[in-house]
Amino acid sequence: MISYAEFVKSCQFFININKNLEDDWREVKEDVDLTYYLVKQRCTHGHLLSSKPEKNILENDDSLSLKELESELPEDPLCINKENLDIFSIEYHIVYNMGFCVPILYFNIWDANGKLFSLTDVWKIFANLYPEILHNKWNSITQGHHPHNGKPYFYCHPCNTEKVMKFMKKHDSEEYEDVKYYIPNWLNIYGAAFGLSVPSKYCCEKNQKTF
Amino acid sequence: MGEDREILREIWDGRIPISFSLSSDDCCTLSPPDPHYLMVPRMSYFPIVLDKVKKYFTRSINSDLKIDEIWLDFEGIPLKWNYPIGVLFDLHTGGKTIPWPLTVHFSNFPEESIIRCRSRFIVLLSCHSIYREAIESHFLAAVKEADAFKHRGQVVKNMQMQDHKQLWTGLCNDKFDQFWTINRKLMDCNGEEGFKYIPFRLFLKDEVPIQRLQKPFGEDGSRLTLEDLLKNVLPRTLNENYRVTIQGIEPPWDTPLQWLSEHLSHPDNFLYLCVLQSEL
Repeated sequence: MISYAEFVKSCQFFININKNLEDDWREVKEDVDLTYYLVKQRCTHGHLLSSKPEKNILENDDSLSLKELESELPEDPLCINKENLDIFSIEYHIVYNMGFCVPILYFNIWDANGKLFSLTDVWKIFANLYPEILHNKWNSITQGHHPHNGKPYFYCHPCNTEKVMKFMKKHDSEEYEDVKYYIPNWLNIYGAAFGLSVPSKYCCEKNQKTF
Repeated sequence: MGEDREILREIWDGRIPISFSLSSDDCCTLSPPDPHYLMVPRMSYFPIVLDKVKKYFTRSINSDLKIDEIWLDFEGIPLKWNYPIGVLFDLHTGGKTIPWPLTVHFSNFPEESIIRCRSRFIVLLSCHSIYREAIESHFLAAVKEADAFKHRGQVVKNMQMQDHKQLWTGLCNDKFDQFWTINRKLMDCNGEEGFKYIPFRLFLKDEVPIQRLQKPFGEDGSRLTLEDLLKNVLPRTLNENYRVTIQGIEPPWDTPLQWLSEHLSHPDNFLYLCVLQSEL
C-alpha cells in the first residue's frame, strides 16, 4: 500500500526516467485536489499486443520462449479479422485508488476505424496470452468509469495488488524498500499483463544506481 | 444497530415510479407504444429491472435491433446503469419528477459515456447473461472497495463465495433478511471505534463522483458529521444553497457520519451523496 503522496512521488520519479528514455508517458494534473495521474498513448499491431512482447523491450531469452509458444498455438478462431483490425490504438492511464491505496492501470483500445473495443474483445485479445482469463473473466479485466474523466475504461480490479506487491517485496527487498520504485516495479507486473512493459534500459540504469 | 432496524427496512423499501417511453428513432410501428410504468426499488440497478421493459417494447422495434443493446436517457443524458437507480434519480431530477420519464433506446449506444454491456462477438463466448454478469461484477467490486475503506478489506477477505452470492441474490430478489444476514458483517465496526474510513461517493451534477478519505471520528474522539465531510470535500464551494440528498432524504448536516454510513448506505456499502444547488 502507498499513500497518495507516495504515489505522486513515485510517478514523478518514473516520469523523469522516462524523459531520458524518450518514452511517452505524460503527467495530467487537474485543478482539483487528488487528481494526479499518468497517461500514455500508442499504436500497435494487434498480433503484437496479444501474442508477443514488443521487440525493443524484451531482448533477453524470454522472448524466444514466447515465440516458440506462439508457433505451437493453433490458429485461434476467435482472432479478430487481421485485415481490418491489425492496428490498434491504445491509451493507458496510471491512476491512484484511494480505497485500496494502490495504483490502477486503466486502458482503452480502439481499432483502425476508431471503434472502441468491447469488454469481450479485450478478454479475447488477452486470452491469447493468458487463457485463464476466460475462466475468471470478471476478476481479470472489467470496465468501469475513469475516476477523473468519467469515461468508460478497462481495468484490472485492484483487490489483489497489495498482495502481489508484498510478495515481490519479500523477494527483492532492497529495491522495494524505497517507495519511489513502487510505480516502475508495479508496472513491470500490471503493465506487462496488458501489453505494456517497463523498458529494460530502466532496469539497467536502476541497477547501476544512477538515480 | 438493532434499534434502527426499522430505518434500514424503510430505506430498503424505497421505490421510484418510472415511465419508460420508446425512443422515436427505434420505433417501427405507426403509432408509438404507450409508456410502460414500473415501481422500481431505489436500491436496485437498471440491468436487474429492465427485463419487463425489454419484453414490452420487443414488438415495437425494428427486428434488426438487438434487445440487449438497451440503454436509457433522461432529458438527453445517458444513464450510467452501474450506479443505483435511486442515486441516478436524486442526481438527475433532484427527487422531484414523478413518475420519472425515461426514454428507452436500442440503437446508437453512447459507448463514450456509458459502459457497454453487450459484445460484438456475443455468440462465441456464450455471454447470453452478460448484462446481469456485468452488474453483479460491478456490485461486488464496489462491496470490496467499500470494505477496503472500512476495514482494510479484511471482512470481505474472510467471506465465502456463497456469502457474496447471498448479498447479490438478496438484492436482486428484494429479500431484506437474506441480504442483511451477510451485510451485518460488513457493517461491523468494533463498538466505539467506527470504520477506518467512511466509503462514500459524492455526486455534483455533470461532474465525476468525488471520493476522499474521511474518518468518522476526529482526533479528539468527537463524532464527525455530514457537515465535516462536506467541508472536507468541497472546502471552497460549500454554501447554504447546497441541498444534500442521501437515499432521497435531506439529512440534517449535524448527523454523525458513522450512523449515516451504517444506515443510509446502498447495498454496495457506499454512501451516495447527491449535492444539488437549491433553486432560489
